[in-house]
Amino acid sequence: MRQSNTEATDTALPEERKRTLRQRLFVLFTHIYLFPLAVVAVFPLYWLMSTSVKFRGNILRFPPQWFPDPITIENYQRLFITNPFEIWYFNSLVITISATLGATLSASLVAFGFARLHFLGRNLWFAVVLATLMVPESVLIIPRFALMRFFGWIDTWIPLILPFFLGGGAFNIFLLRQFFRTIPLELDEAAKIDGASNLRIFWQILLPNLKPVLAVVVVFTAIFNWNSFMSPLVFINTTEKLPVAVGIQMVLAGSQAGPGNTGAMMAASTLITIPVIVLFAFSQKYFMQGIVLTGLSGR
Amino acid sequence: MSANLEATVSPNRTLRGGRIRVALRKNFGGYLFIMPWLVGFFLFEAGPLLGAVGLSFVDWKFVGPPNWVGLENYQEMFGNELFYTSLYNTFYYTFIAVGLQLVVALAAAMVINQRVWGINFYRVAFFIPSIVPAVGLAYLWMWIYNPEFGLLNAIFDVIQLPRQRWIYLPQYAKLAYIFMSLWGVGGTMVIFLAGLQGIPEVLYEAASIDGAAWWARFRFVTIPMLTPVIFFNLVLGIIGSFQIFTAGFLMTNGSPQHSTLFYVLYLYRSAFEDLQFGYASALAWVLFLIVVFFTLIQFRLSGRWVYYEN
Repeated sequence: MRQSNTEATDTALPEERKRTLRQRLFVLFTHIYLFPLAVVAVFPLYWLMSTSVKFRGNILRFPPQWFPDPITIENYQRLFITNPFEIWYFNSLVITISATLGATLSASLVAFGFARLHFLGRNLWFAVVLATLMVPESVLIIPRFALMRFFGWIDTWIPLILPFFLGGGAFNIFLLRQFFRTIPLELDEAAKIDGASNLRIFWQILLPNLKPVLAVVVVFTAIFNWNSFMSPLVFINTTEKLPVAVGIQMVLAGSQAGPGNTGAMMAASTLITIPVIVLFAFSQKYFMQGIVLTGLSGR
Repeated sequence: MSANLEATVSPNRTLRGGRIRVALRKNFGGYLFIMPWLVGFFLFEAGPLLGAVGLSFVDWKFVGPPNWVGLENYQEMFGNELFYTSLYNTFYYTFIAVGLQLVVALAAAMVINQRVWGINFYRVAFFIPSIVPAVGLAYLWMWIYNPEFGLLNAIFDVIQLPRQRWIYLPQYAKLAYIFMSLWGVGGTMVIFLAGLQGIPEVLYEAASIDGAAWWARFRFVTIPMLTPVIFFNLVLGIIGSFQIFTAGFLMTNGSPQHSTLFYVLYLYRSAFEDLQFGYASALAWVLFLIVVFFTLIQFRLSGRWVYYEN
């Protein structure tokens, strides 16, 4: 395409017809090699979902059954009968929504502070924000566990939610700050002359301009929390309080393990994957836009 | 601003308190806004990080008071074969996986960086695997790698290659994890895509006029312009891969023959299964130093190969 662009500068009419033909061939060729690649990329997901609706006898077959026939929901039934799956699912929803709300609110407040307000040590603190990207969760998990125990918060959802209200994640802060900086300062100054407070400038003037990147933050944080595994594994003991990610692991790792239970495992994995895909599908437009717009390119 | 203020107001002792008040008011707003992060940072980041140092010098089983043991945890660690095994496994996984991930993600980003009808479908298809939850990912790939009924051996049968035991064979287990990780490069790919779209078209046109063919344009325009993004993905990729845990915990839990005992899995076991919090904190602190070391080295080396426009 790039080539045809440069040639377009010196086109005569017959040339143009040739160019469209070439362009069409180019498009066709692109689809010819991209389509199989897309099938390969998506096939494991198809495999997950198709296995989840096969009868046990058809799952344990070699060579495998490429299309589920007949289709059954017995794996899903077994999953819900043997485990409190709906409770785990609900828990995950509550935890994810609370943490995401907290992170988005908190990260945008903090990012506004770093992007727009002048205070002593601002650059230093921002460097610290970036430095925390380097600190692995696993390094902090033991002292955090001790701390949460000290507060009496073990086996509650507080350790899974509260930290997101306090800062909202270094990456989110970084992302939002980059975006605040792209909004012209004149907007703030005009509002300031009208007597608006910082909080008002933040909430009523700048935030509405940030919808695409806020969508990115919401989706990233929600997916992160929905998928989170190590923290709930460490902080929560009671089966009824678990989020779904750890819940299915606890039960399927026990007596139900083994290839005989593959159907239920695939059903559980399908159910944990679907909300993430739905969320992405709804925000897809914003999401791709937001990422392309971000200073993520590292400059 | 504060310099202006000092210039207009002469250094007068009676005004001093007023100046402090002005300075306070000037800084107060900013600190108010970053306050949530500051509290979270001290409570959940800096505090625990220092706490981990302290814990690494004690023997503590969570009941009773901790017992000061000095450097014993570190001595035990450096004398323990499993420490070296887990370190080796993690390095092996990290360096091969991150290298391949960068190549695959860049290639994928380049093929979807075209203005062709329907390209969004491919972007979504390549990206979606990367958001599948780790638990689902682990179970799915356990099933794909199943030696008896798995998809991969079925494909191997079709193309007439001998069946393998994949994650159940020490020689292949880590490679199987690496292969699996390539399925999830969508996030890296999207960042590369953003980078590719930031390269001005003019540069390609200029290169074409100079007679640069496909490879030359890639080598002398795309790659240099993309070095900041490559650097970004490399740093975050290494930090992320050092922490591989969930998949290893669920799929093989360290077996066969400790060949998939990754560092964080070893740390988790020491802490929450053996209840050796002191020893595990020593492990944690060493992991932190390793991560910092590799990150700093990369920043140090970046001057030699990363190209910034301004």
